[in-house]
Amino acid sequence: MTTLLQVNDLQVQFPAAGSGLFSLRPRKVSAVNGASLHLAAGETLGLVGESGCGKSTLARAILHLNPVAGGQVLFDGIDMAQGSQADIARLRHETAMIFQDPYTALNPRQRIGDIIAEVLRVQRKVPEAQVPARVAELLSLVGLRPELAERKPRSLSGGQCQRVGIARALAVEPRLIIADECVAALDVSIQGQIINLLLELRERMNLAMLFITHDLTVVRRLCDRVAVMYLGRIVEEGPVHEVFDAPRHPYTAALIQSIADIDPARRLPEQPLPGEPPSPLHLPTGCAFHPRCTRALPACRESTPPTHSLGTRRHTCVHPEPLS
Amino acid sequence: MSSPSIAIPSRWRLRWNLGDGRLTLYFGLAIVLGWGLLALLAPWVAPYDPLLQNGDLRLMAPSLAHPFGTDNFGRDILSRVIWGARIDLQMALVGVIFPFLLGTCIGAISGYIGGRLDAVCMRLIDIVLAFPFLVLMLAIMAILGPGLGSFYIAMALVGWVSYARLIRSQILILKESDFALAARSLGFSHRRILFGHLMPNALFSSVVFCMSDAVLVLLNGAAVSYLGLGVQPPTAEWGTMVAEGQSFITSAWWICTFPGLAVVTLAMGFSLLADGVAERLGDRS
Repeated sequence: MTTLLQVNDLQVQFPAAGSGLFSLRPRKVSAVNGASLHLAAGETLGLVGESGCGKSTLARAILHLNPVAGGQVLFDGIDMAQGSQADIARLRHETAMIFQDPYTALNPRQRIGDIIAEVLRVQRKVPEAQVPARVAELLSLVGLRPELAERKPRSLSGGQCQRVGIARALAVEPRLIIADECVAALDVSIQGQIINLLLELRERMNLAMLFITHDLTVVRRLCDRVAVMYLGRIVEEGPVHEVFDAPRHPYTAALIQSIADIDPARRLPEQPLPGEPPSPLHLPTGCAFHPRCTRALPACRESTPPTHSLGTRRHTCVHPEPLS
Repeated sequence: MSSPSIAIPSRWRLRWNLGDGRLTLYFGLAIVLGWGLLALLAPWVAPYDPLLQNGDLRLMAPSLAHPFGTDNFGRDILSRVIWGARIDLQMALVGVIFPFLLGTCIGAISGYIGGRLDAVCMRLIDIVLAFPFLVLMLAIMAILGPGLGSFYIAMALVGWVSYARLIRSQILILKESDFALAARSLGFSHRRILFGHLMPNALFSSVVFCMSDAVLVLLNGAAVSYLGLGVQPPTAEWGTMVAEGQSFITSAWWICTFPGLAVVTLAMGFSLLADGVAERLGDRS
């Protein structure tokens, strides 16, 4: 499989609150702090982590929607972080995004048909005469009746709106789709439908997907590989089944332990992860996870832990061996 | 969307509101259109020439021949009020449109681009707002000289700030929305995003404000005419008529009263229209 997307040591910084126009030394928050990942064509990578760990920021930086402070984003071998206008234009023609809240992701004043048609027109995907037919085709592809093209988003249900969002993404004919928490705001039954739809579309169109979520059960169902993010860094990455069966990073282990299983006999741990994630404004020294880690050593406080690569797996921790 | 928190008996609310502001809207619309129609048809509707002076008919009280009476030059007040509607409606409309266009464009671009440009625009707005509205208008009009043209220019130079602030605050919120991000991720141009996607969603509050602003413009127009800076005599204009009639207020009350009532009804029409539009459109966004 060829690598479609390669992210190397990506840094994203934002000016911190309180650093205005006239402040001499603006403070910066590092939302993404040296994240690396890769994604092959047709592959689905799950990106998991707590809220605020930088998942969405990473996704937006990959799509060149956030300024990048350092590192590389190689899409098809071209570094988009330093990309020319033509490179960015190509990126826009080959990637698309699906959002968390299906209602706010659609312009409330546009009709469904116009939302999709605008993409086709702006990106010149089909000749003008074929736009209505293509809109109808895309709507049926995501399981919506083409008559809905006349409606406005607010007269549709959340699940229907999310399907429209997916149809809009497919209108681009993308090779990479980034889905940012795209089922988190939906009812559980609708979540299942949308996940099945994504699975089906992935098979049919050989889509690569970066699937951002905090729901590990969704990752297990949908993804080939998983990357676990903590405070702006990828702490563990590998094939879904291997990572779920034998996590190597203590943070991954804690996350997997706290999956609410359907089996009531299995008790959830009392306190899998003590405390809150630290503020990105004051990152802990050394390993960012050490204040909450149950296996932390004195060394974790001082130095950044090494990254161990073992076959298709990779994790960043002082402990090289698998957790028992 | 906004239902009154005080419990109003439903039959009352039905009678005055039809539940969704339709009556307010239609009533306001009827008043404004009524004045518009009178203004358009002035040459046919007005019983006399508004400028025709008649020394024999000075300061006549309202009668069948002159329902609103005559002024100190013997001109028919009813005819002058009807002809005055042309000027006053024009003042309200033009006086709103230029500040609206100017303010909306500046506010939208400033909010969308942000950064230094936004900071500069905001300080500029602060400077304009630091002066009392009427004082700044009068200063500009005094420089430009009296007349309707300078009234419109002064209105645009002073009035744009409210629109700019309104639209900017909306754009600031909307540009962070997911659909704006989606539009960027789809490769839409900034112009398309700002004017095609954000503006239609941001304009609602400005359009409502427009209607109530028309009231203020109308009153401002009347005020500057009253002060002698706006429409010049002998042109029939409500504010000028009130100004001219004030010295006769004790002996000939009708000279001020009827043009004054005309201002009040048209202003009421605009504010009812604003309320009605707000209530009708409010449900949709």
